[in-house]
Amino acid sequence: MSELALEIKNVSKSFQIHENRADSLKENIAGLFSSKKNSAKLFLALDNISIEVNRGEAVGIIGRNGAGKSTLLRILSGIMQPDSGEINFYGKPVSILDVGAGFHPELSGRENIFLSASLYNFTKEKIEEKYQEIVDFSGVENFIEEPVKNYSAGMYLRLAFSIITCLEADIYLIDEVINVGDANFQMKCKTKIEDLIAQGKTLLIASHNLTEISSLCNRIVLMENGKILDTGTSDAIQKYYTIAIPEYFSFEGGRHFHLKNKEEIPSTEEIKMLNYGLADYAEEAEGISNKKAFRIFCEAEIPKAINGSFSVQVCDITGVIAFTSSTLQQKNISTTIEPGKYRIEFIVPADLLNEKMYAVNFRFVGEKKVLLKIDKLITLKISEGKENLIPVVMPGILKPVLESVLQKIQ
Amino acid sequence: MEQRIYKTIRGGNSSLLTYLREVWKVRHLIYTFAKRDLKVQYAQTYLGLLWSVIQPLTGLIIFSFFFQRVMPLHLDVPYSVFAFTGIIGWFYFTSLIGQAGTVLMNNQQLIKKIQFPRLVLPLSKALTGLIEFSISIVLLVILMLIMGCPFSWRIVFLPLVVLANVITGLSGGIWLSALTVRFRDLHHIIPYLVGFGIWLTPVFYPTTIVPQQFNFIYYFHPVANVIALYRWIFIGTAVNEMQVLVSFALAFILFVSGLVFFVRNEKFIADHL
Repeated sequence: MSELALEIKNVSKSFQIHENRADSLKENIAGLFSSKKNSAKLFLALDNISIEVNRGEAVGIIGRNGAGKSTLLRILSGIMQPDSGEINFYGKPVSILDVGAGFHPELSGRENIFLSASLYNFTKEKIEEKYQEIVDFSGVENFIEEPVKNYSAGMYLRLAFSIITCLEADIYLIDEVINVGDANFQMKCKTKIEDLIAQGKTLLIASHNLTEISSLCNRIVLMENGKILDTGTSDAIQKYYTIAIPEYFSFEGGRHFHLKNKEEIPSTEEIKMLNYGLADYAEEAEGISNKKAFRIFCEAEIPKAINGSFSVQVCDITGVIAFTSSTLQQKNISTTIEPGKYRIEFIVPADLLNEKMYAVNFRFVGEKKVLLKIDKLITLKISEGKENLIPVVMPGILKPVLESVLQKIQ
Repeated sequence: MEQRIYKTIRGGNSSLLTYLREVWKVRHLIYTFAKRDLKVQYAQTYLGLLWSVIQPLTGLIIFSFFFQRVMPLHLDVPYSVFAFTGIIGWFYFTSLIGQAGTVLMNNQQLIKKIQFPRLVLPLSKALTGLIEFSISIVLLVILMLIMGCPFSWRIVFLPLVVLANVITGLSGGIWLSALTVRFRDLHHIIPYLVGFGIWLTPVFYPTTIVPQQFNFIYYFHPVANVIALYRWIFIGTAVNEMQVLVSFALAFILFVSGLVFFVRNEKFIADHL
């Protein structure tokens, strides 16, 4: 049996919402003299939440803004108190709700290290012992006596994060912090978190970043309106898509794709979109099959001769571009386009897309500039349906089937 | 296998004693915050800590001019020494009301991100105030030397009077800080309290010029008695023991009830910010 690290039992939390905050004193004084009940409403931010986390587990909490993730983490950190329920920690917790919490801009880097670390309950001796390590990790040694208000944003984050990395605990509660800073810094954060997992520490991470969370965590909890909607990995993520998506990702009429309204597409002097959509696709119960190639097509009118190329970008739900494909890449497609009506087709091969939602952006690019730019021209949902060989979602924007070999060499 | 619980969180109230023990455990934070505030407040200023005495000194100069030249008071001691003994007590008190009263509002970001007993914040203001107060005391001593005033053995009671000064200020500061989070209006009321309060307090005038029928208010006025005790220590003015006892008992009740109120409400502080 695995050991328990963190036990959240039936935790609820509600907030009072005042219709008009500024009236609260007036209301309270008026309330003394009248029997009328306070007009404040209760908002249930956490509704009977129970989660058990085992030692060495990394659990991700996903959910829309306002789902209750941050409230839960604040309660776990002791910043807020639950209305009811109980939380047991079987190990020393540390909560990282912000990078640079407790930093003061007027103080020097060195002073801030001591300030921030003592807020995290380090003794002075412990900070002195770790001081050099923190400075080395941050790489801001030359500026350590400068006030941090003069730091660049990157230096500030590096220093702040270095302090966190030197905190020692058994259970780490982390809120969104892995999504700050430049790519290099994000990698550093991610590596550090992976190190913690490798050391067998227990993690609870709240984030919007599904890609990150699904690659770091071995279990995911989906929250919505203060409740736990689902746990697991693939189920929770699938359900997340059904609640946390913009309306252009909601599909109607049994179809698994959505075409942008024609009225929303601008016509320019150079190009007029006539028609667009998907062709040759196979519909599964849950989406368009990725086991069969399908086509993305557009029909457009080019009123006058022009030099240009067409391209499509396939993005994931958050807008990260998975790939771009252009007619420029085809030797037999000329860039000199005579006036007339054209049909452009891009064939998406089988075994390329993952079981996810995608948006297709369309571009018509002239000699020096983009002449027509339509984002989310088509949005679609991909599924593997019955042929799904692996019962879990594989991390990654794409899921190409690479030729692979397994050879016994000894 | 039975596992050891490291920490448990649940709703409900913790007792004042448990809470104070918690504060004692992290008492180093009181020092840390005080140091931070002093550094930040005087960072990049040329005069640094001297700024903390410029305000009381300006007050002293204005009062001295007014009450020596415009409408002279007749005292046994130099007026400047008399006024300054009032000013130091009053300024320490008002800095506690003003600073401790707003400290939760001014540290919202911290409160929302890091957990620690929030009482540490108003307490740290008592410490920063003490540093500034000590500088004023040095000035007072210098002033007395210049004016040729004698010192008395009564100075050994100074620490006790300072403690009374701190408790009086903190009782207001703690109440205000916890209330201001809920009722932001109080944030605007504090300057008025301080502004009007100086007229109701014998800072720059002696209580002897106050008509007899109003003297009863000093039974309910701890700051007036703190100042009276400073004057007793430094210039040997007589004190009304009854007034001191009653008003200090009142301040103490206010202080303890403030602590209880603060601890009761601490768990809601983050909710209201």
